[in-house]
Amino acid sequence: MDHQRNKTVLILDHSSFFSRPSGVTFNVNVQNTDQQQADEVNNDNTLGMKPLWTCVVECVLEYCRILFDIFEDDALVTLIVTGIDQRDQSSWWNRYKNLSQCMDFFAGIQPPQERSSANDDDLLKHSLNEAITALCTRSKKQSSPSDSDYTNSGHIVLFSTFNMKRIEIIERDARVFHESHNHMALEVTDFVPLAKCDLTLMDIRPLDQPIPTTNPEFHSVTSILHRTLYYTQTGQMLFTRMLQMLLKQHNLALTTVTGIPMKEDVASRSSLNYDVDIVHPAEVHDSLRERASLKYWRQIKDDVETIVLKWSSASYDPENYYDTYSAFRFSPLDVNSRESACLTNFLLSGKCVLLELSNVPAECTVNINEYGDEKNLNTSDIDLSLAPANNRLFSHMIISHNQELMIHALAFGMNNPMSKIGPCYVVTDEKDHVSLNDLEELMDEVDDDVLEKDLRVDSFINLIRTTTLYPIDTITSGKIPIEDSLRLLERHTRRCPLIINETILFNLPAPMNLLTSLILREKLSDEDEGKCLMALKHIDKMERVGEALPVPNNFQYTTKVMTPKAKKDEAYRFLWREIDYFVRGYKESSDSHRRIYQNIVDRRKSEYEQDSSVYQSNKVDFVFPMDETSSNGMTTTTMAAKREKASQENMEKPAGRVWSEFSDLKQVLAANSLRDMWNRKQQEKRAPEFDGRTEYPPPRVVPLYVNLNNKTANVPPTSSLPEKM
Amino acid sequence: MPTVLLIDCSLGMAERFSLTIKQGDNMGTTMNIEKRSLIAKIIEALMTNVTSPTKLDTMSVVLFAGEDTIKIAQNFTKNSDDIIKSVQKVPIFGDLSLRSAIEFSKKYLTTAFGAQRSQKILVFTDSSHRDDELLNKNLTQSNNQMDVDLRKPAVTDEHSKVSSSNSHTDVSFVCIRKPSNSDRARLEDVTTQAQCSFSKIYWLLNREKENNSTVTQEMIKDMITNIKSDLTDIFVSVLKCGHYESQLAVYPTIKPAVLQTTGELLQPSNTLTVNGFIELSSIRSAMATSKHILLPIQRYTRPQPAVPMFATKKSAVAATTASTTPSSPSLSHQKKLNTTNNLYYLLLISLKKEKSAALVSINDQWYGAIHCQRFERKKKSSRLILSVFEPGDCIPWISSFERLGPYAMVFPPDNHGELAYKKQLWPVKPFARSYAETFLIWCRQNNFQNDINKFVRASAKLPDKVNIFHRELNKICRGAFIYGLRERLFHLLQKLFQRQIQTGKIKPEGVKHVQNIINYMNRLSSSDRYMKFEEMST
Repeated sequence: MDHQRNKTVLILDHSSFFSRPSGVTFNVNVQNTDQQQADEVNNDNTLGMKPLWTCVVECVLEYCRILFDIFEDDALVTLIVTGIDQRDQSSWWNRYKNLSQCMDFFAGIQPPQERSSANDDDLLKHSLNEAITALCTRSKKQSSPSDSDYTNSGHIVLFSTFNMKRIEIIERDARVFHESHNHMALEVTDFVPLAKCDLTLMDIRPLDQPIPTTNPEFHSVTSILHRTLYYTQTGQMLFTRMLQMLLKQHNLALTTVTGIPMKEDVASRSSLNYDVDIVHPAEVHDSLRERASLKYWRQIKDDVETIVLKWSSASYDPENYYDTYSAFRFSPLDVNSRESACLTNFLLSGKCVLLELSNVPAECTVNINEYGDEKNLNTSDIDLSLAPANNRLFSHMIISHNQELMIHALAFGMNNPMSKIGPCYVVTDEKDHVSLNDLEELMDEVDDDVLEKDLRVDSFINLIRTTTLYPIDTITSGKIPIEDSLRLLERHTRRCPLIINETILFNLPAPMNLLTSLILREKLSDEDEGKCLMALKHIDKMERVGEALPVPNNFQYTTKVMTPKAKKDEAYRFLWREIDYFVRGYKESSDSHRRIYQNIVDRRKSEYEQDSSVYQSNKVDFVFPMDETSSNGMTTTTMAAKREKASQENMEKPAGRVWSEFSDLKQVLAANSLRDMWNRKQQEKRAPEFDGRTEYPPPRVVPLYVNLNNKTANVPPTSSLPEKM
Repeated sequence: MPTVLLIDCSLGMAERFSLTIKQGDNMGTTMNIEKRSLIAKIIEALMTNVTSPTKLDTMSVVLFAGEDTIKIAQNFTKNSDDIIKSVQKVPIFGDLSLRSAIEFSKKYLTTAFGAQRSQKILVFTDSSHRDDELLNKNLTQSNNQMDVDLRKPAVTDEHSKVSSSNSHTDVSFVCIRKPSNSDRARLEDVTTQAQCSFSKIYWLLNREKENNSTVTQEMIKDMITNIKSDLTDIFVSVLKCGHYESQLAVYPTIKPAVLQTTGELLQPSNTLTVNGFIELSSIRSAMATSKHILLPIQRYTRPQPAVPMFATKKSAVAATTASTTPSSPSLSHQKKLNTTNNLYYLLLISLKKEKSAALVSINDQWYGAIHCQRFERKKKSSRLILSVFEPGDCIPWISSFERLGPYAMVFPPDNHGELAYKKQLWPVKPFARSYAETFLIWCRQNNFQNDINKFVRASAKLPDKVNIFHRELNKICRGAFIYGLRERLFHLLQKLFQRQIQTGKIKPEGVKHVQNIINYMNRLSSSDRYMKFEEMST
């Protein structure tokens, strides 16, 4: 799609010939239903005659307009008027960036003089040389080193008046120029040799002069240089020739959108149908060609071929994703006409129009009824029921993207009229590694509403909003914006649960939600830090007061005793564990994060002491507490993190603590996973033994072995042996 | 991928074969059945499994024999039973014309689904009986149709070029005997002539190796496994969104694509990484080279309410220690499986609610979008659909994927406040388009007339709306300069306004303004360059 574009140079002859009247008139009469006005229609006072120059400028601007509409910056068009000095010779392809600049160029040019000057031919020759220079000059795309293999081709369009001799001279000149330039290009780096050059001559004649032929004449001057000659009268014919030339040179095509309903005026209810012609790259019609020969939809309109597609009023939902597979810019042919304006405004307002194939030739389709056996065909499936009733085929979609009109080709067929991915894809299937039983279960689909209840959709939607992408115009060097989005996603998913049931922290109302949202920031202001600490204090207070926590319905309590108090206590313990875990994940972000984390660590120590009384009165059984992160597929990392945590906490504990009572165990259990606790217990049980062995002969060892020694001392080994014997 | 099962009904299909069905301890019963029944059995075996391909896509059954003997036995359906039923009694006709049957099937697929997305034709035929029949037919055909036989290879060459590049229709053959090389070549030839791409041949009996014509059920089973793995061509991939991950199946597989700018062939990576999100109304049905359905690997299970209680302290400790010791990977594995698709479902619901699409990278410089689609109106469930874009930046209204930034970066929140998301319009690239702005296009008489009418109408409203009048004036005068009409047009306009004043079309208070502009036009007609009215009068 992004193929290299041809360059185009338009040369306008500014000689006295073009000051002649063209025969095309213009009328400044105000059109009114007024009788008096009607009498004046042919009055000399209102009628003016356009000079040939005006006609050519109109035609050239229309040519440029379509190019700019469709190719934008890539239009690569430049204008040369004979005898008008182009001051900046280097910037051929940046000179005219849009239609407005082309118009400014013409606004600065005086109309041709009526007196002829002797050197008109020389001026034309000079312009031709300039044109070829321009074609050999690098365009912006060519100057980038990656496009070294760019084939440099271009068009020169010359609007003038010709006779056979003049044509010969021009051909010769063009040949000499391009050959010399191609030679030059070998030496000068600024130049690229021309691989192909099409010289189009437009022989302009006033309306009253007949033209010898309406067909263009072709002539190959050299293998590189080809000449085409069009004879044309001014007015409509010039416009048609221009269009034919434009379509051919830039591989464009016309589509007629037919049957556009338009209200005649606000009062009348009836609407008339209109046609609007649009110009777009010819590739748009490829999808039709795959279906059947284009001849079925082709019409000839004013000597130009067009494909007729029907406007369809099928409803369009901009928030749906249609199955389109190509998109091209288009431009209305008669842009300022009422019908075109109506269509474009409709589209620019964000609406969309589907274009329908009016008739699909029978030989290109399969009529199911014709080939089938009726009894086999009346299936329960929707496919068939659609086919005869809905015989409409939507092939294209016209729509505006950011104020740009685009035509999309749709993937179309009888069964997917809206070109969604077809109903054929009803699936719940698997690779073989899932057992058959599983598969059968998979067959029934999950209700979306059920899903919504369990998953933390709202928080994920927040994440979506945070990382919703928009284009950035100015980027700071070395930074790729989309990577910022990836970083954001990473931060936001680092320590957040996916499922509602697994969290209390994220279900808490203000001010705790401040903590969860602020911590995610990369930097915290003092104020933010204060807010977070406030939030922690708040929880503290809540806990003291005994406020109920928003525990999710399916929260997996680990207490056996299901008294409300036990539940609440556990909920708080769980909450603190969650907070600890959550903030820990971000403590490396900044000093503020670290301070908040430290605050939690400090706070938790005091928590236990206060809490210890509560646990003593409860009989608690433990089940592996639901870990909030086990859900998101990073079990291994969390395990590692936990192990790390466990060992960290071991360091903090006083060394010689003995786990003699189960109630002590419970304290730790309350805030830790059983796995952590188990590891710790095992380690700490073993710890004294190791100490004993390593610190040999420490005084501590002695008491441990005192009884043993006493026993052995009381019962002498020598005497015991024979006793046993 | 919609699939047509194209079944040969020519005379050869009545040929008998022996089929051995094993029962228990190698006690096989051998049945003597016709080829057509064998094919019915194959299709039945293909369809009756839980992993029937109809779960993934629709299929139809077309019977064929001679050139005009083509019958749709079953229209596209997802009902396996209907398909099985339709092949139970396959009739027998005399002729055989494979090419027209394939062409028909292609047309049938195109009629039903369009020609843009991949489709499949599975031809059930046998090569053994066709050796003479088709060859003769081909010869006679070519003799009839072409004067010079030599031209034929050239034509097919051209066709195959076209088909290999453009065709989305894959043709595979299911044969009872392995076709000989010449048969194979002919099948390929027929495929390319029908402008489809040749994919594969499956066979039951290898004629070169074994001479006995006994088909066992294992043979059928093996073949079906092969066919099925090709038909249900799933690509298992990991969807990643930050630290969240979900395993999912992509159907059909993403095909490698070429990056236009460098000509590099890109393979899809097996991780789809979410880069961010784009509103569906912003992405506006961006064109995709292919569409894929994303399926969860694991069914969604609702979290269970509290785990059964333990009776005693002891058992609790025992159970918990058991579950936490490293020697129980199976449990953690199971646990992981249960929750492995949470991201999938979370994404599904969120995208649906938010009407957004996730931008995922398939490879370096290769992107796609995932959106949620409810695929049948009556049903309440949805699926994620992946649209794969052409590699590189090929969507005109998204100039560069890499230059998309998160919301807060593009629209920074004021005074460091909370991020308040508000749907924004996709920024418009500043480019003057002729249809979006009013340009003076005068190449048609009515364009010019409209502009003049507006101008004159504005003059009648004077002294109200002076600004509009001046705007129209400036427009017309600029046009006069652009199109080289200065003196003539100004002259006529001056006359027109004088007449308007005389006939009292201009309000008395407006006459002053009109006089001003007549003077302006006078001066302008002798000026070298166009100046706005305001500039000229000051």
